[in-house]
Amino acid sequence: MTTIRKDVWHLGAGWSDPLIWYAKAVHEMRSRPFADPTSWLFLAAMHGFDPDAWTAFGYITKTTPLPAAAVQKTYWSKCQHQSWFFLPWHRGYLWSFETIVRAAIVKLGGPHDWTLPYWNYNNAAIAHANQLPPAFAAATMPDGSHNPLFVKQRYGANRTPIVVPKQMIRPVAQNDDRFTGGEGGAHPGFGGPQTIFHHGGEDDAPNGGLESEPHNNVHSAVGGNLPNADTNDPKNLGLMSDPDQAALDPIFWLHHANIDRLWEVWRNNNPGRHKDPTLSAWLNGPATEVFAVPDAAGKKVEYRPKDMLDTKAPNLGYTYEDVSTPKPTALVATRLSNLGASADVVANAIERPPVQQPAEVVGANDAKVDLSQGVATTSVKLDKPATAKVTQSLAAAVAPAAQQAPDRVFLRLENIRGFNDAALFSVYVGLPPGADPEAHPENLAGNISLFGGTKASRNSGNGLTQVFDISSIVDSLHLSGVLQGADALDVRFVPYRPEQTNPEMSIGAVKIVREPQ
Amino acid sequence: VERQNVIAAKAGIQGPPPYVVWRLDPRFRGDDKLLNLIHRGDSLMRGWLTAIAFRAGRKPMPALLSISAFGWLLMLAPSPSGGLPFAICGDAAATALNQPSALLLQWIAMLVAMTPPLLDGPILRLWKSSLARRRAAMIACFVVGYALVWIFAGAALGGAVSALARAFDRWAFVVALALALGWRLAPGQQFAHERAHAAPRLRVFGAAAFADGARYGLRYGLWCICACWPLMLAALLAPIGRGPAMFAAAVLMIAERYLPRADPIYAS
Repeated sequence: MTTIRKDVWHLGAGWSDPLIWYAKAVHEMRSRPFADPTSWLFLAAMHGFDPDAWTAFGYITKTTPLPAAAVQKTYWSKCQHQSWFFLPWHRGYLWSFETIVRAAIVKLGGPHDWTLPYWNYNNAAIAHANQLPPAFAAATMPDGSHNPLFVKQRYGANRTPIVVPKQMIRPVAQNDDRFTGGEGGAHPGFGGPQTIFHHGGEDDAPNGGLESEPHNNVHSAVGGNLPNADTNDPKNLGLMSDPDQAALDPIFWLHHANIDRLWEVWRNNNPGRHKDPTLSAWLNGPATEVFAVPDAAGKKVEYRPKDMLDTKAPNLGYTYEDVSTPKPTALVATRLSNLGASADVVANAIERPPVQQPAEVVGANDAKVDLSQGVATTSVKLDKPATAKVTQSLAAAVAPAAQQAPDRVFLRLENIRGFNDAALFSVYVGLPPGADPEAHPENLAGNISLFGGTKASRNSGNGLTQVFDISSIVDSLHLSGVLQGADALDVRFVPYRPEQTNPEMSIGAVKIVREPQ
Repeated sequence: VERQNVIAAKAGIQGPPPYVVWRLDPRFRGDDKLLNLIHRGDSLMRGWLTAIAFRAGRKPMPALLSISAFGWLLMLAPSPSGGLPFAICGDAAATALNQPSALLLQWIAMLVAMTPPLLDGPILRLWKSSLARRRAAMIACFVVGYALVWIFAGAALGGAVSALARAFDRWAFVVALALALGWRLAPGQQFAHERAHAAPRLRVFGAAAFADGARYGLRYGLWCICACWPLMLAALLAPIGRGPAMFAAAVLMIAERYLPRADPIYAS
């Protein structure tokens, strides 16, 4: 049987039946012992486990019996981040969760075909789709009892309702033709960079496109942190802000169902180009271990990415109500039109198979950027010969007999270190001096979320890496003549919560990189 | 816990790592110790093999392995002073008889043989972080910095070898081996190993970039030596001939370089 996961906004206003059943199941699963693989806590610990914070929040006590170490080793702290395993690992994880919740609902007398709803924050037909669904914000259920979908440690921007800002959930990743990438410092693609088992903190691999936006941004924007408290203490973070706590929050699962859906959307919106990796290292990876999750009976189910490719296959058995998007225009077509190319040149460029050449540095700033005190600006000095290669490429790409697509240009932020995983910064490139960033969305390169930052920074870790495609910004600078002869480009970091300080938060290096196509 | 916090603060670690405290919690030890041990060893082994396989096929590792192979051949060449090839010579006293210049050449040959596979990460990073036309020069700066540290360390290690040989005579190798094992389990070794993995900032323009490259090499070399000096001592004192001993030490060092990151023990 194939079930259909539905948009939470299509289930009906407020307390729909599926959400009431979800709440009842959460309540029931919370009462199961921690060591039971189908318990709420066990499932959350599979994503990540921070005993200190869990104790502080009252989920466990110092005497709560834990599963045997071998069981912990098999299941716990396995979430894959900054990795091409991000999507397949979470797909299996969601399947396990949905199966277990459904069984709990059936046991409580609910429907046999319950499915996990997804939170489509981009649903254009709903006025406030980017707002936390109200059933999760209510303190009580319709019958006046405690609402298990509500958690206290969900701070947002410290105002109600909790809203995810629209500039942080743009569907930019959907335009990326590559699932994976990142060689030589270029963009890591839609699905993330090629890695081995990657729970975070192993090395400085960058966030994949979808993982970065909307995934990380939604985590940090919803979770937030306790106001007027030490933001470097995980106990002051919202559950959603920290990978070791996130899956304790019932909204986590609706968020991840949407991320999982967006993988299907990507494959669906350009079946000829948008393909999953075919390398065995991905299909059968990671070589160090087979991912394992419990089924409804608590029995171990093992899977590899190759088992996660078809959601309608018997082992998964679900589909999404809607996997359409307004058909994305190929990035290269949009760029060439903006650059003034003829329709023929654009058509040729779309037909041409994508070629990836090694990336090279075009410019860099010369000092660490301090993000602890709010807005920060840094100047990225441009190398003349490398910048000339970019402008030549942009000029040549629109010529009638053009053989090459224009260079892709990336902003690369290295060694992003910090201990407030809720921190969010919008990054603007080439803003005119004194300009209000909000008035220039065209200069928005992307958003940094520190989700996973603590894991990547502690024990002298190298921090997070973030790569944004800034080709369209560079195109505009080229067209307005700013790029030719420019010595430097300003990059501005604007915090989402400007009233806060983030001690010790910094970016090691800001670079601009070109990738010939 | 208080003491751990103080140590952690001294080591510049952000806050007390909570899992260190919890690792001491009896509930985390599980009920089947043997199974846990096997499980841990098994996943460590597979993690390590994958990490090595993951890097081995990717640039610049094949080139580095070729350079390393060339180094091993150099070590088999006869000593310029007419003595035995470095790889075959296995006696500390014989080493002392060689001239300093010959020793230096032999030491450099040994570095060319042993260290290139350890430089894969930094070289990839230098390649990514430099202007295309400066990549070779940046890597050269790094290598010079790295080699300089090792050459000075060579002198110090040579002194230590003589001292150990004088003090313990035939037992010098056993002492060095015990030292190597003890150091491998010490928090200081892990601390040094983690520092060696740090990715310092590399500037891109002007002389500052080259200075950063050289400094990166110096730092990387220094922490490498901090992590492995007793192992090098043991290899230099090994009674099986320097070639096989150095080869075994190189394999161990490469293995260590690609081991999955472990929880820190230096704060506990």
